[in-house]
Amino acid sequence: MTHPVPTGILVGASVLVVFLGSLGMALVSGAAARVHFVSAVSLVTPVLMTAAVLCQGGLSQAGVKTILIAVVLIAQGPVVAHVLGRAIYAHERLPESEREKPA
Amino acid sequence: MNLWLGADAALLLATWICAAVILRGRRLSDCLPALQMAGVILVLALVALSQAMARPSFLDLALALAVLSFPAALLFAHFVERWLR
Repeated sequence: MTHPVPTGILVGASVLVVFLGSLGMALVSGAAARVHFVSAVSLVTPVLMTAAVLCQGGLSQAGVKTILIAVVLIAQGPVVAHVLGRAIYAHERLPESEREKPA
Repeated sequence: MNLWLGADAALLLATWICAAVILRGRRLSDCLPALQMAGVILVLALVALSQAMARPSFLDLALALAVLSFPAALLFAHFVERWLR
């Protein structure tokens, strides 16, 4: 069950999304703006890569494992984006005097 | 060249962009998103490498990295938020 053309298109699309996300993150200024690119890459690319693996080999061992990897990445993406945004906000807004000192 | 091997090389090139952002970052908060992005890209690169080599067992490494990058991101964010500058 191999479909070379859809596999190539999906792999190319995922690499393109990763490249655009990386370049956007490098070009944009501000840490909070960079989190948007991280979210986009971590949500879109696993879906494309999983679809490519499923196109190539069907629901094989590799397909199931890739689905699991995509589920993990997609599930953790919004949580990590929220936590990163909160940390960046606190890091950039709080003065040094209000920061906790490590024990 | 294998399609997956080419994709793997391109993904590793994108990781270098993230590394450049991390090295150029003035503050620690500038580097955090690039670090997280590099983790996601490396997981995908491992998936592509496993497909290129036709070894599904290599996907266990990608799965472990995907699972472990979550607490790593939470810990980094926690430390940046509370203590580091």
